[in-house]
Amino acid sequence: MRAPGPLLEVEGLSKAFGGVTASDALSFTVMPGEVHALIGPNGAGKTTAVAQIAGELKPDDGRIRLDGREISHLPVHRRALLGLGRSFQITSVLPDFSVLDNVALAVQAHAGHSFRLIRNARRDARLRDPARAMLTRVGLAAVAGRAAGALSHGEKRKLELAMALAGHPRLLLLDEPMAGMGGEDSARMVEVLQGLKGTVAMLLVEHDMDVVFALADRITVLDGGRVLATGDPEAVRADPAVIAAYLGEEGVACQPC
Amino acid sequence: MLLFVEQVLNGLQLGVMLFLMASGLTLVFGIMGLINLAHGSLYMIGAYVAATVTLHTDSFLLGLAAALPAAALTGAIIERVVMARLYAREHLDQVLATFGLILFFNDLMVILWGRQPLFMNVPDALAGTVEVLPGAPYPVFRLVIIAVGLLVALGLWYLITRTRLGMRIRAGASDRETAGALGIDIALLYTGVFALGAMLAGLAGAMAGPILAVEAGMGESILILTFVVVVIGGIGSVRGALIGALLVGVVDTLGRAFLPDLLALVLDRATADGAGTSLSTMSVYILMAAVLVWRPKGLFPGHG
Amino acid sequence: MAERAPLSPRVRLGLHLLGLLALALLPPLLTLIDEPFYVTLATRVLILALAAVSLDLILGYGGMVSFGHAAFVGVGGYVTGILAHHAFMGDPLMLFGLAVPGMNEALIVWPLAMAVSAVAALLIGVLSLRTGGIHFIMITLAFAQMLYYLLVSLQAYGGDDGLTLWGRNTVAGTDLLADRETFYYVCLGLLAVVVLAFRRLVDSRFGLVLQGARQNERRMRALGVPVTRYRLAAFTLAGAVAGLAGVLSVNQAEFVSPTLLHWTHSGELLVVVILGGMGTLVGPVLGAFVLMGLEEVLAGVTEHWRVILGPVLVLVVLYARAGLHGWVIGPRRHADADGEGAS
Ligand SMILES: Nc1ncnc2c1ncn2[C@@H]1O[C@H](COP(=O)(O)OP(=O)(O)OP(=O)(O)O)[C@@H](O)[C@H]1O
Ligand SMILES: [Mg+2]
Repeated sequence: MRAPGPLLEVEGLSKAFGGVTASDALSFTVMPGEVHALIGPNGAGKTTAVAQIAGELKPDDGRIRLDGREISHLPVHRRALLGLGRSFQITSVLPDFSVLDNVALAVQAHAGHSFRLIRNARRDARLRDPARAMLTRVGLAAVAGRAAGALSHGEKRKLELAMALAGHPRLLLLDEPMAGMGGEDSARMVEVLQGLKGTVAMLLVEHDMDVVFALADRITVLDGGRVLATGDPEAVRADPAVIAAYLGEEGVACQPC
Repeated sequence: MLLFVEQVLNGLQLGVMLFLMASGLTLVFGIMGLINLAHGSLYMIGAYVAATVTLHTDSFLLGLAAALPAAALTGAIIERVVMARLYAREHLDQVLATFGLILFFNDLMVILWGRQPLFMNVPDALAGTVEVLPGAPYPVFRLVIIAVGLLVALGLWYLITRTRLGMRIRAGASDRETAGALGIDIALLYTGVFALGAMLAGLAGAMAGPILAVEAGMGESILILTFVVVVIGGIGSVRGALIGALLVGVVDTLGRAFLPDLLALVLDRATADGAGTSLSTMSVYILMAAVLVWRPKGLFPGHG
Repeated sequence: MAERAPLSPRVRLGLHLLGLLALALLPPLLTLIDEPFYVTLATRVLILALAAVSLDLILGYGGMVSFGHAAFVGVGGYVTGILAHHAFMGDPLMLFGLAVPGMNEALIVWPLAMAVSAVAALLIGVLSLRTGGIHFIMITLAFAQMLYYLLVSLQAYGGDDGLTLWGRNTVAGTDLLADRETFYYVCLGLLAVVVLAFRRLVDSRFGLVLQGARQNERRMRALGVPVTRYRLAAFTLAGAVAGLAGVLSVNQAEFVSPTLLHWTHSGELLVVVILGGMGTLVGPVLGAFVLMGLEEVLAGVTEHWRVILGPVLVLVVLYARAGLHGWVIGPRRHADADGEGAS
């Protein structure tokens, strides 16, 4: 076995939209099992970075490696199968399907190809049992039969997490998993993530500093598409550049929330 | 060589007709996100009105002057009565409703004008030919069509990029809400754009009158060719519509004119004729397939 | 038309079986009231329904708005027609230097026609599925039109005028299909088999992926599903079944012409699916009966019946989008209760 290197390596990632440089030679790493927070003001380029890692956006330049393997040119689904699980900043579920169907499909996606045409997949214990277990884990077991589109916002966010987890990812890409959640739901989600800590690495985009400092092992601060600082929470908190550019104002502005 | 020049001109003439159709279609796609199958019906209405007025007054200009507002007005009515309810709907609904409109308009024309196609003459003033090259006479009327089409292209370019109205149109395309906040009456703007597209379709139909038979259903083959143009050019792009239209016009015309002869170089005559004819009917679709492989969103994706 | 609460699965199954029974009893009934002509009309409805059901698979479940489905009907029909033509003329069909003998035997011709339709759908699907939305609609329409013009240009097979056949295909050498009622039951049987098979299919792993991609393609990709290849598979399968509808149609009419794949027929198939209720498989069968019935009635009223049908269509789209199936049987199956239980 080789020495444990970083799970995710982002190197020189660049992306421009017209005149806007959304990613400016981004480089950072996520270690196995680590919770790595990606923070920065609105428009800093967090979502853009995640989208490139997931493969939805094609970078103009740069490389992405997962466990040492270059994945920059793989399509989204191949990256997902290699162990990238994802929740979106804007909730993204299959609205007409039941909650259980949603998670079972996630299980199915990782259980080999889906060219199985005859057997009723809704009665397939190999899909349903793990899906149900996952729903219990995120606290959605009670609404398993409901149409996903009819869930509350907080429930949808949990469902997204359950779908991401169902594929046993090695790295979770979580883009503001608590966005728009009420205080209680949000606390519950933090608990769930805390419980996951150590079992799966996470790249966590989050605005709430309390959450970030509660969960993150390391933090990377973005601003204007560039990495402003990266390191453990104490170091980042103390970094003068970060204080000046981000925590200084944001910290004050964010006090009430 | 002379034949080649003539065929290229024929191709350009078909191309500008397609552009008149495609520009309206693509503006409506780009700005309202609407797919309108009944665009061919507006072409047909333009042709019928122009033919009827011309036959009664002996003046093609009067025919044209009647056809444009008739098509624009029909377009505005369609937009207000049907389309305005479909903006928020799926494309499927838009396809079905406008398919219903086609059925309606085709039979309506038959009721009003009968099944006999109308034939109209090229207006006297434009009836002759000119020598585009020494020894290559070419009908003036077709040259005029080309000129009109290119003028319209220029006018559209000016309208969209250089005027306040154009700015509003582009604002409406990029973002309904911002446009609303800018104090633009979106509903009126949409009706206006739709009517403009309808008028251009009517213009194409009116000018096609002296070249083709005016009959119910005449809008459909050109509609489908127009789709090919829009797919090739890129949905929402007027520039793409122009390039795509000229490309399709020329490829289609040259294919029909020369493919059988070209194939005869490698095949025996009878096979070449058969295969050439078949292939030439498919040429623009093959062009479309090639563009799709190369650039799935067309040559000029997005607006512009 | 307000959507009603869905009926229980058992009642729904009962209604479907009742419908099948009614269809099975139709020919003797029509003979009894001395209107055997209507058996022919009903056969045509069943064939239309078969094509519409195949469209419903990709449209209602896969979310693919294909405006070129009649092309695959036409391809299936032409394979039948051309092989029968060569069988009658006694000369082989030369294909890329290969001599294919003419044929009239259903057991060979029908699967072959389906295969050729499937290949056509595969090729068109590969290109069309590179894009979605409005593009997909226009591209499928355009390629279908290309096939239409191609067939029009084939003078050897009648061009515009098409081919007249000398009788229907044989089955294992017998002229079983020549009988009007037998042919009706063959069509009904095939339609029932296809509906049942698709019913299973849409609940299978494949079917769930197909439906998931319709609801949220981006999500499906992020889950690790290469959605395009499943869509392509469904598109190809639907093409094959549409080809079968073409085979039946040509056998029924003993005639084939490019009209079979005219673009208005593609539009008609969409109308049938929407009218009946898309994403229901049974709805399109209802839709076929209603549309053909409506056409029959309107045509009795006026020669220009499309001037009425057109606005009716617009009204249906604007105000009755759930379709007949949604009206009679309840809205399409959403989450299907908790996804467990009996169905
Ligand atoms: N598809 C796009 N087209 C054009 N510009 C874009 C696009 N996506 C993002 N941008 C721009 O790139 C920049 C970075 O956006 P991004 O969404 O990555 O920010 P973010 O850090 O996720 O912000 P937020 O905290 O608000 O989610 C912004 O200026 C944004 O306007
Ligand atoms: Mg973001």
